[in-house]
Amino acid sequence: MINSNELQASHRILSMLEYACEYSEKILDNIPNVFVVLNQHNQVIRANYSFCSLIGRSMEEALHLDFTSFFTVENREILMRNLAQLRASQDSEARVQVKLEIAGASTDAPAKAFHWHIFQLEHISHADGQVISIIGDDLSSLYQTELKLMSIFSSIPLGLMVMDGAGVIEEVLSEYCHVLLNRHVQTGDLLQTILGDEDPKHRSELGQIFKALQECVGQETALFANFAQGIESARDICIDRGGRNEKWIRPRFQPIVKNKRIDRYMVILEDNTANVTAQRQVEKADLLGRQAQALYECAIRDPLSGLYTRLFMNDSVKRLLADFGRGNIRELSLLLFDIDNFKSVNDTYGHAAGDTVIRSFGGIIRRSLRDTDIPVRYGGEEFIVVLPNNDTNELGSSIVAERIRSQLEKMDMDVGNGKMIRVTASCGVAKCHKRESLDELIERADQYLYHAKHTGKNRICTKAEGEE
Amino acid sequence: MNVDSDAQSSRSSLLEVLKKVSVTQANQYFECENVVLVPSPQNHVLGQVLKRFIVMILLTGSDIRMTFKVHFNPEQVRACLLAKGGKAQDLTDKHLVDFMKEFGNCIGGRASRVFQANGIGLGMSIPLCTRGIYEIYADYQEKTGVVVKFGDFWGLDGPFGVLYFSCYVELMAADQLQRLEYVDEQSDEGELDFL
Repeated sequence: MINSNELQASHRILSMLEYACEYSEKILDNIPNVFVVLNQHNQVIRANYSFCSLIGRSMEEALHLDFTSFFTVENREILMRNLAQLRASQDSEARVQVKLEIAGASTDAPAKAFHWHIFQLEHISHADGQVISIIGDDLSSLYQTELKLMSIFSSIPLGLMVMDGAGVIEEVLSEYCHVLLNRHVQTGDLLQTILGDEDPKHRSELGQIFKALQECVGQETALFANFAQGIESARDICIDRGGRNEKWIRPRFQPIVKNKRIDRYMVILEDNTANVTAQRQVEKADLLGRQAQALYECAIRDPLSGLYTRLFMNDSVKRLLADFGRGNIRELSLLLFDIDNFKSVNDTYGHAAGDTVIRSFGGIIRRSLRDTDIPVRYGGEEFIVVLPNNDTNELGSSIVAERIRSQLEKMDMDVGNGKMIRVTASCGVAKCHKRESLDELIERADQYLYHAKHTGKNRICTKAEGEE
Repeated sequence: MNVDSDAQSSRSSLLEVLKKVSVTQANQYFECENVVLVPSPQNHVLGQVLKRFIVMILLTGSDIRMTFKVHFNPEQVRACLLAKGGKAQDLTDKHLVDFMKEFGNCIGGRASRVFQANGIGLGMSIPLCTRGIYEIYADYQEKTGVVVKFGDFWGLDGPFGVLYFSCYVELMAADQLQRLEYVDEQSDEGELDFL
């Protein structure tokens, strides 16, 4: 006999089980997924709020409605075929997963895509036949996101496509692909062929790149990193070379990884035409610059002596004079050289010998000076050297002049036919006075040179005749 | 009489009593007088899921074990109670479930008293409520032999719409209920017993 305590205990347990069951049911009622149980005739015998909200009915109204009636004709056929297969299956664990759109509450509302998980539900009573349980994941927000992404992909100025391991285009993600490649790109096309046809010059290079890409498929991503540098350095592909729609496209390949191994590639085509055009402009400007520089060099550099011309001297020495006037340079000296008896060299050995003398003397001057000094071929056989000097040695300019003079004096010059001659030069050294112009300075140096010439030549003079 | 006819007779008596009990109790519980038995839905098979909720009660005695179920939708009960002046805030699903559990409890109690009046003592479980879907786990399989098992199903139409009832009975002594009679408690009400 059961006593009252045992009865009470049993009742308590039953109550607890009832609560537990109801809590579970409420969880099912409120899960965001659609949950329905169907009888043999596909009528709803259990539904949750998500389903009721989807079809716009109350739970009472949803009971015994034909679940398949909420699907479009095509989707309904697919669903019913899946349900029939599942019911016919001997495997009680059998499951079906299928993506289908459900029309929902009204015919006006857009159909929503769901991922349906369909499985048999074990039961005891056979009154409702083979009972099927269905859980539906709403994919509509996912689809919305996908649509948004697709719209972004379509509008960004990049060609985006997915390419399989064999180089076949699987998916064209952006409309810009067609614009960039000047053709309608289709899934199934070989990307290497498209690019190679457009730019035959790069065909072999493309072949190497695509071969490397194919070799990377199925490998770990680290392997791709080894190839990546070579692939990244791929040159731009020229589309419609020389035509009205000439474009330069830079292809990039981003591996799509599956199970830590490279499965496919995202191909990104970037229109690099602007960069290439800009680069061309830069190169053109650079060439023009170099040509202008060469022209300028011709204008300022005497080709025979290698020294500057008077054109350059006028600008540069005037700047030095200005610096000297402002006190930025402590001392500024001008050396005026004239090769002694140069006319007789020309007359005796010819103008080529004269040129040799000029060239040799120019070399001596260049080798004897600092970068800051300015050597100029002033006239036929006249040379000017301007020496800015911040040293305290007041004889510095005379020392430089003497060094040049003495080197020339000692130099043997081959004037042809094995004939060696030596020449000398005279020099006037003038230290610049404050507020003295270039012409005045040259005039003064010329007076000192004149004095050197009249006192025997081959010498340096720092003052004119009669000066103290 | 043979065992089968005894069992059949007991079954008929029992089901008649249960149906009468349900009608009487429904009239009393819902405070009306127009509750009537209705035929089963078309093509109905015992054990089908008919409503969203089920209230269950178990009656047991030495020779009988009986599971009794009331199948209902909370909405139909809510509509009925609102029509009778109930307040919406008092009629949550939980209140309605409790209301129907009490209804099941009353039916069980009334049935017990009828059995008691026929000399058969029955114990009664607390009423439990669960979702209608669990009907797929119910066993209504009929059996004959030493233990006779059978189920039945009926509907009641009233101010609450249509409520369905089902029962599953196990008779350990099939001949005990042949003379089972329904005693209407209400007919005794107000009568004085003069000794």
